[in-house]
Amino acid sequence: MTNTNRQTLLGSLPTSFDKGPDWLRALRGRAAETLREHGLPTKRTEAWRFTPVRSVVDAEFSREEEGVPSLASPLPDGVTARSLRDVLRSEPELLDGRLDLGGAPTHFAALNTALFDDGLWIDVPAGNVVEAPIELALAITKSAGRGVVYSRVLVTVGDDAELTLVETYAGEEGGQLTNSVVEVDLGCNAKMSHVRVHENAGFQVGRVDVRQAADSAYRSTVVTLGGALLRFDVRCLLQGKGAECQLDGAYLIDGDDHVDHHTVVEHQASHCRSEQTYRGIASGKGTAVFDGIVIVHRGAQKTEAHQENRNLLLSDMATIHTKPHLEIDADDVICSHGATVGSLDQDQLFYLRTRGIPEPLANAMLTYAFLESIVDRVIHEPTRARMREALLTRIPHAEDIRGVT
Amino acid sequence: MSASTEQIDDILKKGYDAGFVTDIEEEYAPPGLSEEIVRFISKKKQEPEWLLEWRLKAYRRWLEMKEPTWAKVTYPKIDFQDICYYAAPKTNENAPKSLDEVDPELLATYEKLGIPLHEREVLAGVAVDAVFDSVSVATTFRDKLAEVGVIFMPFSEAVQEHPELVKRYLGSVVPVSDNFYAALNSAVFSDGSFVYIPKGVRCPMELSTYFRINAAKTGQFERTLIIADEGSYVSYLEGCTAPMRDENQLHAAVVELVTHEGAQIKYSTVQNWYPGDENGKGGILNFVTKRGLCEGARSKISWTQVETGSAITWKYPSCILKGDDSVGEFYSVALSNHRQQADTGTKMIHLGKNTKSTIISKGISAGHGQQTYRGGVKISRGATNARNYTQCDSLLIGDKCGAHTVPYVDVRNSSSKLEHEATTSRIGEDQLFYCRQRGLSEEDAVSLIVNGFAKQVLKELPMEFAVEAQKLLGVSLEGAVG
Repeated sequence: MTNTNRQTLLGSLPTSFDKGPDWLRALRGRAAETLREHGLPTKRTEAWRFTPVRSVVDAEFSREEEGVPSLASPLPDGVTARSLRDVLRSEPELLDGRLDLGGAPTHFAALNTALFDDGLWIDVPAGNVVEAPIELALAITKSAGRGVVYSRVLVTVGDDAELTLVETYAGEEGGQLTNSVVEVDLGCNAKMSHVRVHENAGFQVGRVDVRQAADSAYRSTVVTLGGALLRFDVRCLLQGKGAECQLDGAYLIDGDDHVDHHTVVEHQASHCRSEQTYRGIASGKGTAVFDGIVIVHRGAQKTEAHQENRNLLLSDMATIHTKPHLEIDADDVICSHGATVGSLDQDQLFYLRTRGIPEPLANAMLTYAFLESIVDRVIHEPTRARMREALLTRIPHAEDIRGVT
Repeated sequence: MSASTEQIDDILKKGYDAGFVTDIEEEYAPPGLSEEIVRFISKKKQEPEWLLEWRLKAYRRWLEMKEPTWAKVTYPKIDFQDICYYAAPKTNENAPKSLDEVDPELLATYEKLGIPLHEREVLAGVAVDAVFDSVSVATTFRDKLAEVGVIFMPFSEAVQEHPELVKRYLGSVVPVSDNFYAALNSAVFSDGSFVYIPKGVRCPMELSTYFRINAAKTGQFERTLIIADEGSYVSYLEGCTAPMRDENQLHAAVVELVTHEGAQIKYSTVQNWYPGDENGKGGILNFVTKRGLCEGARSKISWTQVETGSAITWKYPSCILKGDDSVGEFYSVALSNHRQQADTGTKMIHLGKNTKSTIISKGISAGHGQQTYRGGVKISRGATNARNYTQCDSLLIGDKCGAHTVPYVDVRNSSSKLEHEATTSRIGEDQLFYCRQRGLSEEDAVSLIVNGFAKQVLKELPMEFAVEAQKLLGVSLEGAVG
């Protein structure tokens, strides 16, 4: 299945697109043009300053065919999951305007837009409340050569509908490069809870783009447990009045890991609310980056936006970069952000030690508790338990901690 | 409770008191920038060869550099060949030796601005170096300062009288190639202040510089260098004004501070350059590089700024905390009204052990004003037990202004501790209501709230500056609330 013809990412762009409906060919053409003009990001690109993408941009890859995440749970009633390739063949008009990432795909998302071959479209029709989560998994396999996978998912949730989506990206060290794009369209008063777990995700550039109609609510929880090079962007466009989003994230890195989480929340309508809470722990020689932007557009009055990023730096060889960032062009707003970087609280450690808990265990407990508070925000209980377990496998003295909690 | 747009507009159209032009004979260099101009300025100042070489090196670097575009400000393209790089009041052959020799027109100008230039105003207790366009016109209290060994003089004189100090420190904190505007300044700087505080001396009075741009179509490029030797202390104040003109004028200054072991510099600025009219016409383009180096252990540099003027402010007073246990502070109130744009903040670079920094930034936007806090805190691997606390708050007045916060945090040492917090909101209606209910007029209530908002910074200012700053804030914001 693997194409052994290896090329750089930009080199793999075709000169013309001749398959699929007109709008798709035009969309791919535009994305390719943007890429040819501006190239892939470098260290001089502000939003990519800390992401060492050069190793990816300069490398040669062979294209892997399988890029479609598989359904890891039975499909609940009322939900359809269709192959993007099939829909593009049979009813392409259904997808027109839904794969353009809000108008201007750039960098790796543009690459994905130009090159994705297949993907998944999950649709929850209006009024359908789905209790059980839909689970998607993409296994990142170690390829003989260096492979690249383009993964594409579209989720549409109709008016008043509800959905829980759990995505797992797991793999082996030194695996292929995954370029994943997930687009979410939420109708009026729709609700979606979106959990995404990166377990040793190897090389990955991921992007989630959410468009929200009035009164919709989107909750995202991202848990990243290591990654040779992980760059993950979430962008929420609050387009309808009264829409809400809550973006939570936890990252735990070690060794030579580099994980990079970016968020963009755009308040385009009034009376919207957003909240972001990201927590991270860096040890070993790892580097963790958080970069979050809240943009409040002119006229988006009565906005409430909060942003928080807390980090623990547990080794002198590790590095933390954080850049919470506000751009506000309306006046009737309540906005705040905060960021901290520090080590474990000595008072808390002392307290645990006075209770007879040995220092290594006390350290592990506090480390775990720091990130567990993010995992705890996942509403769906079985998913929450699974994520706790995934987190515990990365923490020393897991047995003892299980006994305590 | 909201005031009508007209009301707001009325109040925002407040006058700019310092906007008069002084009719005085001035000597200009022809507009444009070239090696000849750099040589001309250097010759005019009778500078030694090494300084000319230094300037030329900066000029050549500048030619290769690009104008920075990362700040969130927009302004008409600056034509660097259309600016006069040197303008000086015509005086008798030599610079004035005492106040009697200073042109009375000039003294009247400073009188109007309320600067205690004349020594009889001893009560003010401030030693002043006044810089008019490109040259320093008078420095007061020099003798008294000399008694304790403090050197406070125009930069051009320091080059002649203390070349060894100037040569040693010039460019040691802000190298010529640091950034586009610093390189430009290094090539064409005309004058500024030079301060040296010897070992163990606590400067007996506050030192002050007053900058005034007068001539049309000129740029002002001053350079300030302050050195505090071991265990010394100095408090330095800086103020700025300019006439109202329709075209933009460029101001690109460089300030370098060095503190040795146990020394302290407190640097306060009230910047009130002409901000342009309510449609954004004219005004000063203020591109300033200010940086302090805490060279010795236990030294401290504290920046306090009140930025109410300029059409464009591009300014990031920073501290390099190199000595162990050194301390950096940055307190700022920036106000942008009408079409003013301010992109300002600080950088704290922690290199030494147990270094501490505090950043308190208060931004106020009104009218169509745009305000950006841009800050960086960097804790390097060796900065064990470093500590930073950052707080930046923005206050919005009116629905057409903007406030942005862009902090960069970079930590590489696990024993360090760092906190950053920021809030953005408008004046609370409940706060206003409370004040009104107690019988305060809406204008007084707003003034009270704004001053309260900025108090944490204003209290860091020396007395006479604090009064001026409060007045400035009050005048520009009375009642401007929706």
